[in-house]
Order: sequence, then structure tokens, then C-alpha cells
Amino acid sequence: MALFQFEFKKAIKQRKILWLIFIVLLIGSGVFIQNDQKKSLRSDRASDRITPFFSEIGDTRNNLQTLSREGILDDAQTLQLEAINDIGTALTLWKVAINNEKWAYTPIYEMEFWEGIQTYENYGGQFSKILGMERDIAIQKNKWMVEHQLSYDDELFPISSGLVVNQVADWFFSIWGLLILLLFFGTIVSEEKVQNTWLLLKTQPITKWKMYVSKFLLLTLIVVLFMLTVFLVGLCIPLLFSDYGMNFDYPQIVTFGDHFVIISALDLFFRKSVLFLGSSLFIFSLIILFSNWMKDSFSTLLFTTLTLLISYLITLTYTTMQKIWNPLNTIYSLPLTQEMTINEIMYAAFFSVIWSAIIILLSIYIPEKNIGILQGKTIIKPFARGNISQRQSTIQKLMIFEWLKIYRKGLFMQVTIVILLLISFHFISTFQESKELKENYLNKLNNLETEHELLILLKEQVTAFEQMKENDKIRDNRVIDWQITEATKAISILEEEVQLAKLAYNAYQSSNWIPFHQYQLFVNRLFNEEFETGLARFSIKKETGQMMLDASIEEKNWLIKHNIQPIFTGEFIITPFSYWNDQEKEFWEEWINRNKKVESNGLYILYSLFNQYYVFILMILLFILVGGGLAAERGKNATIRFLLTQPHSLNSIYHAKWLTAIGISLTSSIGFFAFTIVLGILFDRFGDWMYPILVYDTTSIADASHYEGFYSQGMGFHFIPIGEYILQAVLLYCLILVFLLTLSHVCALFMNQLSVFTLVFILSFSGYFTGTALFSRYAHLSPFTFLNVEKIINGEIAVTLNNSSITVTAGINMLIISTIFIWLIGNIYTIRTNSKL
Amino acid sequence: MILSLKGIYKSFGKSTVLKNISLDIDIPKILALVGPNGSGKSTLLNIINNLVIPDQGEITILNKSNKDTSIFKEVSYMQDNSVLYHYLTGYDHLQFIANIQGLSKKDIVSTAERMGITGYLHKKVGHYSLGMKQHLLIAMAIVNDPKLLILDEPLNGLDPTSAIKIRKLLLELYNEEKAIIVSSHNLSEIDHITSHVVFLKDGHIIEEDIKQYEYYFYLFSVDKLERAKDILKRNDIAFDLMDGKIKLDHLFSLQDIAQKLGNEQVVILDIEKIRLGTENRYKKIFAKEVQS
Repeated sequence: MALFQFEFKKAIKQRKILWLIFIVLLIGSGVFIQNDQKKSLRSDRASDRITPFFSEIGDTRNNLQTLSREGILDDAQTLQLEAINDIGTALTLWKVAINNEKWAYTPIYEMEFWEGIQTYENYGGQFSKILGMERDIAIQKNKWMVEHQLSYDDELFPISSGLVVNQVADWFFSIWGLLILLLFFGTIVSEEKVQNTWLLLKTQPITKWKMYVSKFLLLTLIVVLFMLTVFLVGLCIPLLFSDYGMNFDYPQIVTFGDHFVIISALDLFFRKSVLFLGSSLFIFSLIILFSNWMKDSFSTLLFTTLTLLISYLITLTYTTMQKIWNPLNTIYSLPLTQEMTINEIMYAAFFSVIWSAIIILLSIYIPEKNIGILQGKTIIKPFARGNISQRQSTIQKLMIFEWLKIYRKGLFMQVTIVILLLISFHFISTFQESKELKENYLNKLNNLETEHELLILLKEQVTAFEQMKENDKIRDNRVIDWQITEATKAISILEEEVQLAKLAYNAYQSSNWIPFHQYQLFVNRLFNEEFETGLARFSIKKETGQMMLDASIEEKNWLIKHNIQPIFTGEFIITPFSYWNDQEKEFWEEWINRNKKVESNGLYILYSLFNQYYVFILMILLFILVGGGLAAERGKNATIRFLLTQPHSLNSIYHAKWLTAIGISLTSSIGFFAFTIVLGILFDRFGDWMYPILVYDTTSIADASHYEGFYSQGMGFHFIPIGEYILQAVLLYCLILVFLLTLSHVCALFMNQLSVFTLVFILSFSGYFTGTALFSRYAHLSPFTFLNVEKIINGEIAVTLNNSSITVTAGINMLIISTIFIWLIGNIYTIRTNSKL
Repeated sequence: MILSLKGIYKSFGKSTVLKNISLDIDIPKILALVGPNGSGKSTLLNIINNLVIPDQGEITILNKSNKDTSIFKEVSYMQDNSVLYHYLTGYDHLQFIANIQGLSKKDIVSTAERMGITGYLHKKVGHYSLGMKQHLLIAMAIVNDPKLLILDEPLNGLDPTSAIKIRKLLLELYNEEKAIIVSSHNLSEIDHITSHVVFLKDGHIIEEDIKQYEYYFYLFSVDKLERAKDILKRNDIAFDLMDGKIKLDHLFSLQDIAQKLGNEQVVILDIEKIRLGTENRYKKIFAKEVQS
């Protein structure tokens, strides 16, 4: 107990727990503010859900009323009409309550609606807009809300405590939360080894098992504290800033197969917590095991991460490994809490704890070792053969010394290894995925004739109708004739699709790309309703938006024009301007997966680093490596005192540090980008410079008379070659890095390293958020708006904020101006200041 | 003028550490800065080196303002070992200084040899012992052959052999016409190297030549200690024992004692003449602190 108390005291003194709480508070607040910002659209989203109900109820009522006017309404239909009228009333009241934001009443009217539907169907009517389990869920959920007297809340952007708690939990009780805990507390043993305090513990009358168990208990306590913080942040912020009281009863759906249960938001939070606790304990036990063998923090973290990653990939690859006893499967299950039974969750957590206990036991009984990945040599060769250079300027000499320090510290090698591993893993997974997607897609093309479900169905239908006609089973042949005509039309179009698919397949095998694009263009046009098929299947405009169809068509035209090798898979470009409602979320996700483009050629894999935000990891690691500036010379080792008692000015040191940081980070980044392309070239190909990347244009740009792009869905779009995209992205990335490093180097003149990193992180986060969420009209005036390279280049931020001034050029200008301005502050300060320490 | 301090004041919050400090060094000499912990010794040295800005006062080094960084070509400040980069080698440190100050590789080699650090110069400082670090710090301070050398606790963590070597080095440097300011807690070591002492008390300095307070004693190493003790007792010669040696007041005649011991076959192996002064004076100036 005394040892545990000592461990706890150390953790408190290190202030890591405080930082952890601060991060949860920051992100929790961000989640809530973002949701609160979307409050104005809450009615629209709630209305979206019931709009289809209106249309079906309206149509049914019209039909019944027509029959009533014609006097041919039978008894059942009369009762149906009465029920439909009641449903219509409930639906209208429901809609009015939504429009007036009377959220406490919407569940009551919804209940009346479902009761009406029940009555209507009891009289033989049929309501088809929502069927099966989906309807059962809607009814049960509504029943729960009425029973618990709950007000409606927007589940996508909630502001009530129960839902916010779960949304914050989704953010933290995930792989990201595990990563944060790993970074903060993964060095709990190795740090002691590095600082030799481990020897102090070992020379006390404490057994090894006590040392490890107390460390593990402390980590368990930290995880519990972390979860408690997530809960309290998710609870308190809505309590303070929203009208919803403290209520954790909001219904949440748990589905497994064709079953579902409704649980409270609190219950769901509990389930997520249990799963997260199990996963964290397993990871921490691994940390302790590797700390037992490794001599430094880097080696421990790298080995733990690699072990986790490899075991995770094995678990994903082999279904036999995806069992409840596998703790890696528990980590994999973190986002799937709503698809697991409580028993599955409890067992998964239980097995994770058992594994943790086994690993801790192993750590205790396996002898300690001191393995290091970067084993330092005892004798180190002097830099530049120990020669002294007389020709360089003071700043150059200081810069060489700065580089030498970074190099000798070993951190540069560590960061390089981590980044190269990350890029390699990204490449391997992309390479595998693209290979699979390509095979599947080509197989689909090759077998379309026999596997085109709709074509087969239509052919069967036509045969069935023709048989029915022959057998004279139907009194009115007009309807059947229409059906046959429409189906035949559709069949001929689909047969053309099959024909084109075959051509595309054969042409692709002989490296002729045009027929492939022509096939995809045909599919795009089919969904764009350019062929008269009379079939509803091809009408997806309402959901995907016209933009997606127009962009997909123009993309194919570009690909044909430039004869570019296809990238798999799917025929459509996914745009964020779609209108899928909550009920269609699954279909939307499937749609995204079907059309996700994955490719491992050099240019595309580099593009994916920007597109999938991997560059942020690169940027953060390099920033931590060189962003400390003068602050890194303060603290326990006040080496700044040595630097300041040499014949050079503070201004020279400031500039040398700043220029070295920029030089190292930019050179390394370019090196990493080159490495990515080389990987692509070695294992795939260089890629097509002209491959089209979609860029959105704001309405004001698209409305201009000289606009050369395409107009769609109230805005414009055009394409740029992937090569041009990469050049812009690299340029923006470099300028952002220079801007952030300048900012951190100026901050470093006034504060310690941890404060510098925290301040720059907070400024970046809040600057980006303020620009894009609060002051969108002036967002182009903030350099932080341009941190999101991907969305700046593709114009998404400009279009979303309706601010046409947000462009790549504006970003370049703003980042350069801000960098110069901040640099000037640092420059003037270091010239004028007399206070040195 | 090598160093001139005029009316230096420095406060940290409500506590005034230095009050109207004035000090001049116009000829090469060794000046010891003495005072209890927290008396402001390091603050004064940091102020001289422009690492801390005084609230009031003027500092001139070699007729230049101490704000002029070029003074560090002729002034060296040896600080505590927290200024060392533990991930760099000793050579890296010296190479940086040589680069910045326009020195040659020869200067590094000769300084390393002079300090006896060649053997571990290419190891990372993190692997150095405390004594090794002190040696490196002194090497870093003398590699540029400065006119004014300021050393903060140079003998910290040194074994007796190393301490003697450093003492010898300081005297050599003094003979090379260099002014040296040494801050130290080790009062007997100060007595070995200088009689110019600046006591720092309650923010003020008391600068004295402590020769007037000095007294000497001899330390005899003999082959037969018990017999020697017996001889001295028989001859009514008062003595003490110190580290297995006989301690005698300097007022006794060395010749007489040597003769008495020699007559009874006691061989004198070594005689050390120890000078004491700083400690004497210190005890008087800081009487209250010492008694409490």
C-alpha cells in the first residue's frame, strides 16, 4: 500500500493526470460546442425523418378518398381511411412540434403516429416506408421515451447529458484514447530506468512483484480516473449549457443479428467503459512486460506498439482469432459496443483482465533485461572529423551545433524510424487492399452477365408476366403490358451495361483503359437517369446529391480524355454534399466503401497521406522533435546558460534554432514524401500525374461569367491533376510547418517546453475551430483555417463556409504573412531584450 | 581595468540579495568569493556574465559593457554541470566553443591534455562521473585562453588528487597573468590559492586581504607515530592528530622538533605547511550563522 501511495504521489507530481483531464475537457467542450452550433439544423434533421411518412400517408389518403368519392369504399377501407386521417393528424402535430422545437412533445405525437399505423394495419392497410426490425426499433424506442418522459434530442449532434457522455466516450474509449494513455503513461517503468530511479526502488526492501503490481494498480486507477473524467465532462458541460436536465435514460439501440434491445444511455456508457477498461489493462500489462526487457522509453513504446499492431493484423486476417478470448479482438470491438450483448462485453473484458494478469505474472518471473533499439556506442566519432571551421558565419556555426544536438540526442533517429514504419505499414495495407479491390472489381466485370442480380430478376419477371398473360390469369392486360415494356427497356439497358463491362474487362487486361472508363461512365449516366428505364432503382439523386453524379461523369470524361490507368474501386466520387438520413446510414457507409478509391502507386499513396490526414502525424512528430526552441535549453539542464556565455547574441541563437528546426523538419518531410513515392514505384508504379482530383468551387466563383468548371447543386466543381494537388499540398504543408515552428520558437522565448507545446496545440485547435465554426466570414484571415490541407485544396471548407476567399493562394499568403509577423516579434524581442534567463 | 562593478543592486521579489555592490579588479589576481548558501554568490557571478540583469548598477569587463557578447572571447565562466549536454561528447562541447570563438583543433587537443581528459573526451557526457564533468567544465572555460576566468565551485566533486591538480592549474593560470574569480565553499582550498577574499554577507561585500588573519601549522608524517607522540609529550610540546599525522603550531621550531624525533630513530616522511586564514575570518564575519 505504501508503495502504491508513493507511485500515486509521483504520478500526481508529474502532472500528467492533470494534462489528461485537461485534454478530455478540451475535446469534450469542442464536441459540445460543435453540436450546439448545429442546433439550428436540428428541426431540419428531425423533419427529414418524417418527410417520407407524409408522402406515403398523403398518397394513401388520396387514393382512399378517391375511392370514397366514387362510393366504392368497402368497410375495411372505410376504417383504414379513418385511421389514416388520425395518422395524418398525429403526423401534422409531430411536424408542428418539430418546427416549434417543442422537443418534449415529439415523442408523444410520434407514439400517436405509431398507434395509428398499428390500427391502420389492423384494418388491412400497409405502411411500407419503414418495415421490419427498423420499424420495431422506432416503435420500441419511442415507447421507451414516452415511458421515461424524455425530450427528443438530435442523436447526430446531441446536447443532452446522456448522449453527450456517450459521444465523448466514443471519442476517448477508442484506439485514440488508448494511444493517449499509452503516450502519457506508457513510460511509467522505462522512465525510471532511464533516470536511474529504478535502482533506488531496487535497493529498497521491495519485491519485484510488489513493484510491478503497484505500477499496474496505479495504471488501473488512472484508467478509472480517465473514464470518470470523460463521464463528468460529458455530464457537466450539457448540464451547464443546455436546457436538458441530468438524464441518462435516453434510449440506445443494441443490435445483434436480427435481434435488438433498448438500453439506457448510462447502460451504454457502462458497456463502453467495461470494454475500454479491459483493453487498457491489457495494453498496460504489455507495457510492463516490455519495460522489463527494454532499457529506454522509446524501445518500450515501439515494441509494444509493433506487437499490438502485428497481433491486431493477425486478428483481422484470421477469423479463427476473432474470438472473445482474444484481447486484441476486444480492442477491435471498441467501436462495436452497440453490436455486442452484455455477456459478450463482460466476457471480453474478463478475458482481457485474465490476459493482463498472466502477462504481469510473466513480467515478474522473467528476468530483467536491458535491450535498446538504438544501442549507443561508447566512443563516438567527432563531428566533421573534429575539424574547426573558420569560414562559416556565427549563425551557420550555431545551426551545425543545433543539428549535432538533435542528432546526438537520438530522437531524430527514433522519429525517423517511427515515421518510416508508419509509412511502410500504410503502404502495405494499401497495397493489399488495392490488390483485393482490383481483383474483386475485375471479377465483378467479368462475371456481370451471370451475376447481375437485377438483370436476372427482371428477366425472370418478364418471363413470369408473359406466362401469366398466356395463362390469362389477369383480367386487365394493360398493366402487365406496361410492366413488360418497362422491364424490357431496363433489360436492354442492363444488357448494354453487361456488354460494356465485358469490353472493359478485356480491354483492361491489354492495358487499354478507355473502355473501362466508358463502362463506368455508362453506370454514372444510368444513375443520373439519362436512360429511360422506368425503374426506381437508378434514382439515387435525392440521397447522393446531383453533385456526386455530375462529378463522377466529368471525372470519367477527364480519364478518357487523358487515357489514365484506372484506380479501383467503384464508379462514383464520394462528395460530402449528400443527404442520407439516419435510417440510411448503413447504406451510405456501404456506398462509401463500394466507391472508396485505394491505390498503391507512388503519387496516389502520397496523395492518400494528405487525403487521410497521415501528414498530421508526421507534422506532430517533427514538431515535437524540433519545436522546443530555446525552451528546450531550460529546465533541469539549464544549458541555455552555457550558450549565453559564448560570444554570440541571443538573436543569433534564436535564429539558428529557428532555421535548424525549419531545415530539419522540411528536409525530413520531403525525404519521407520521397520515400513514399519510391515505395510506390518499387512495388507498384509511379502513377499518373494527370489523375483527376475533385475540387469544389463556391457559388460566387461558379456564378462568374468566366467560370470554366461545372455547375451542380448550387455550386461549382472542377478537376486538377493529382500531381498539381500534391505540389499544392506539399507547399501548404511546408508553410504550415514553418508557421507552427515560428510560433513555437517565439513562445519558447517566454516559457518552458511543455507550455510551448500545449500553447501551440491549443492555439491551433481553437484557431481552426474559431475560424471554421464561429467566424466563417473572416476565416480566410486566420492562418489556422489553412491547417486542414486536404479540405483547403479540394475547396470543401470554402464551400461549407460559403467563403470564396479561402483558397490555396490565400492560404499561402496568410501563412507567409503570419510567419513573418511572428518571426518579427521574436526578432525584435531577442534584439531588444536584456533579460536573458 | 579587468572588471568593474559599480553600485549593483538585485532583488528577487521582496528579498534584496545584492545591495550596492562595487568591486574592481585592475590587475591579474585570484579573487575568492565566499559566503553561505543563498548569500547571492551565484547571482553576482550571473550578473557579471549578463545572465541576470541587475536592478541597478554598472558592470564593465575589460573596458566593455558586459552586455557586449564579444567579451566572452576573453572571459570564461565555468558554471555547474547542469549546463552540459548529457547526450553530447566532451569533444562536441569543446569543438562548439572552438568553432564559435575561432580557435583551432590544436587548442582543443592541448587543453584536453592539460586537463587530463583525453581518455574520455569522445564519450557522451551522460556517462561521465562528477569529477570528469568538472574537468570538462574547466577545460571549456580555459580553452579560449581567457583574460578573466570566473569559476563557480570548481572543486565540487573532485577527489583530493584532482583538487590538488586544479589548485595547481589555477596558480599556473594566475602566473600566466590571468585574473580569476573563484566561488567556493571549501575555505581551506581557498587558502591554498589566494589571500584575496570577498565575503558576501547580507547583500554587501567585505573585500579583504586575509593575510593578516592567517596562521600556519605543520603536518608531520612519521614512520613511528606512537613513538613520535611519546617524544612530543615528554618534551611538553602541544600537538594534535589530523588524518594520522601530527599537527603542530607554526611557532615551534621545525629544526628542534626534527632533531628530537631523529634522536630517537623516528623518520620524518613529510612535512606540510598549512595556511589557515579564510576559515578564521569567516567564523568571525559569520559568527551568528556559525553558532546557530
